[in-house]
Amino acid sequence: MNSVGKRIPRYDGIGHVTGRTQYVSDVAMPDMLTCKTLRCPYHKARIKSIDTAEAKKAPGVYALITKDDVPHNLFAMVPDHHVLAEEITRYKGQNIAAVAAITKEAALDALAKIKIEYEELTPIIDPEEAIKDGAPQVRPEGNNHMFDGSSVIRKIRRGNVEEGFKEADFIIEGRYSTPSQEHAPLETCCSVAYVDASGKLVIHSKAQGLYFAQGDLANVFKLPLNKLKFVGGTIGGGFGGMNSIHTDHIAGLLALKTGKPVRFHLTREEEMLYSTIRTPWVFKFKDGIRKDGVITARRVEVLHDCGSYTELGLYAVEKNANMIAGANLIKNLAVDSRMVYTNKMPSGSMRGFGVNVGQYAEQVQLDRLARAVGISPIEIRFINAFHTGDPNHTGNPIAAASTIETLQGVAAMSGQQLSDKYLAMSSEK
Amino acid sequence: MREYEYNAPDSFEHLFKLTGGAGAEVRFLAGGTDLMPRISAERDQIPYDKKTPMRIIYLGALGLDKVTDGDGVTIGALCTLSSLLGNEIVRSKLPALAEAIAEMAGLSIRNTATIGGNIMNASPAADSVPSLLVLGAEAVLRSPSGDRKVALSEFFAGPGKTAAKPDEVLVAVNVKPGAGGAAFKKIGRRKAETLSVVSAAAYVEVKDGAVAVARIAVGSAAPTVVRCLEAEKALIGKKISDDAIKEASALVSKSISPIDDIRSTAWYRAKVAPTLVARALAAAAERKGPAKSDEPVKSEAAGFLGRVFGKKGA
Amino acid sequence: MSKILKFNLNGNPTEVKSGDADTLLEALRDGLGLTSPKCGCNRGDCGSCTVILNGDAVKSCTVLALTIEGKSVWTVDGLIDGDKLHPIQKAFHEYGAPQCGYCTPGMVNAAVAFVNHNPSPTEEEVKDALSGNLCRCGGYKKYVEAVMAAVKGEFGPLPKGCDK
Repeated sequence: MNSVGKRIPRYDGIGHVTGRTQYVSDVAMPDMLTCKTLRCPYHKARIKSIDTAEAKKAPGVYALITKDDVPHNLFAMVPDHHVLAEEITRYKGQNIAAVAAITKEAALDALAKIKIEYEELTPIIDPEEAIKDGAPQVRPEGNNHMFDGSSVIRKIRRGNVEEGFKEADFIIEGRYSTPSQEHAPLETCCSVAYVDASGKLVIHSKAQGLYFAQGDLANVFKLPLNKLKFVGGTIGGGFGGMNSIHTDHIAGLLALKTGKPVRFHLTREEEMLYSTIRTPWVFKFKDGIRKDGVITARRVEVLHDCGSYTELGLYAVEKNANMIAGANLIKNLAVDSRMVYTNKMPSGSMRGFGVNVGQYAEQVQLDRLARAVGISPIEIRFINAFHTGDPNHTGNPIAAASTIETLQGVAAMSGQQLSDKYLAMSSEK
Repeated sequence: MREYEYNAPDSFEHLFKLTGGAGAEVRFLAGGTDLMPRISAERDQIPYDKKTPMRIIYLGALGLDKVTDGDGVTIGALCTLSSLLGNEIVRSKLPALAEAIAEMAGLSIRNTATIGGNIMNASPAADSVPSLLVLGAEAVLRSPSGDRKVALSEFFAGPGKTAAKPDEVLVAVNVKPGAGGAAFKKIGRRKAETLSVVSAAAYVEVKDGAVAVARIAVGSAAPTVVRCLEAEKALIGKKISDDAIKEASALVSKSISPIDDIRSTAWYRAKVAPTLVARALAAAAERKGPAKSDEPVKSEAAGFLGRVFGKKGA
Repeated sequence: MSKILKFNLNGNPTEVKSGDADTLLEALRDGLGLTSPKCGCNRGDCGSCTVILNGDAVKSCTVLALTIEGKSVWTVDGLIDGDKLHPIQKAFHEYGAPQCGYCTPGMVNAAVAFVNHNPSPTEEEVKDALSGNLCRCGGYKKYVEAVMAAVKGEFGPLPKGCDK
């Protein structure tokens, strides 16, 4: 107990205040090349032809790669994303070709010399349009597909919602949506890759999950794990955005190809426009509530705009389905949570992804229920709160519920008077 | 990749030799807070179109960073915003300008950015411009054929467009503050480091109890900062009152043409512009013209002057 | 094109080859390998690249490098005296202000330039002085508290300027 309740300086604090902490974008090596990529200017397109001959001969260029130079052109948590685009590009900004050159200017000049012919295809941007019949297809598997091979919807069913609605005095419906959000860490995505003296590919990476990235990219490079070393360290913010690979794959490929150190550092513009984001969600609630404030039934339909590749979309939907009904004991519950592909940058993880967006919707809906019944917002939360031992939404007993105690704490901190009834309540029934 | 050529002439003779040459796009560089990000953005793009070289002419070696008080207040184009905030003449004679500058960007940008740059960018959101407009400022342009003055009210032609010819360089703004009072109000999306959603400045001169001169300018609500002539007319001859201000500021909508953009909506701008103008008018009417130079700076001004870090009383 | 830029860096006469459109940030990071000024946006927004130019905090990505010929630049690297931290650095460390730390060198420079000019500021003034520096971890409160503690002398007397 030497540290509890005391102010303990960070172990890396001195480095931070003296500017000596080395971030990935600070790593510099002799002879290091700069990587820049050619990105698709359309939301969806077919690459009819690509000619890199002239670009490869441009001054200062050491390597230029396209899909044919990638040993295994699929990566990501659900490996359905192309390192460099195949025939069809699915979002604006998708990487098509990458160059390593002596300077940024030489790299960009070379990219300008790539001759590429696109056929622009009809994209689908709005998730609610994308699930309709006849919508343009983002992927051959369909817009509403889950790569775990089982269901296209994460469903939760408890009791009988139709019976529950009959018990209710009020039926309240609500539609909620959330916009996309960029993590915007101050240090943009950056990788520095080189092949060391023993022939091992070393990548200085901003990855949050170094071993996820290592396993994933060992497949891409077709290298055994003992030939691929990831160097992590202090990074200038991630907020979930560094769970997805943005630069490690391409920097690694170019280092292997050139035998020289390669840095791939996104500009702020690239980071904002093309890296993974928290993508939009749409929530539709239909709740039945009795005059005494008890929620008798709840139906929730959730739509997660996943962008054009799965990344962590599947996981987000799963978490969302488990949590969307909130910290309430609801006997009759039906949740349909699904993801849909659109022609946008892929959805990534970000700070409670799938959960907090749903809680925003659920909490606003609860306030509306309280207004309909004529009770205070905090009362409805007490009335429906989980107790220890209650089954959660998927049927598992809750070991240590704390909703009631949390509400009591909130009331105390916000100066809200609670009646004796609620003050006496406890999660232990 | 485009070629860039840097020059830092220390005389106008040298400068005009550089502006005369063909085959290059000439850009004047003052503080750089607008131009440098634009150049950096250009240098990050794949150069599909071959562009003519850019000739960057830095104006910092020409001694244009002085404020003088003679025939009106003359502010050198290269004065940084921070230096103006700390300048005794600006503080006492042009409090509405100081008020506007205190609301601009944040300290580190104000330390670099110049008033000339803010004017020559000709952004409808340039915060120094509404105050300068209502104070009747003139731009002093220098070319090989000499100096000419252009009233700032005639100076802006559209976003990024001014009356300055390619061989003319802004050397100063000249302001002759009248006997009335002026004030500036701004709404941004946050408190600091933000461009205006809408800005407004007003100048009011009262004679024998009635408004004799009124000038109103609104920023970020049209392709340029605009004067609101109808609203101004409505005030002339009136006694300053809440009703008179409300009536006049409602006419602001006749002079503005707001749009939806990344910062706000046309709807909101149209709603908020009259309110800001009303506040600026009320504040301007309260303020009784520039302080005489031997008068201490009033406490009203001291609030925003607290933002003049370390340049207090400079 | 490029030219040789001569200026004073952390008290030392310095020369660096600099492109005609290079920013001061590029001259420091790429030209001199000084990585304490960070590149967060390169567009004058985030303040990670803040350095002290002739005594004032500036965003080095908005300054054309060649314009600082003959001027003086201070960065966090020059504020340390041997192992002895500047009171602002010490305050940031002791208050746990840095989280990921990427904004910290810029925050230190902005705060030091500010307290050099204004050694007894109000909290509002400190907030304004740091308003050009973004922290995505959300650590603003502690930075402000730490500056206030430093100006009250909690971490020793403030030096008069950057020169030791």
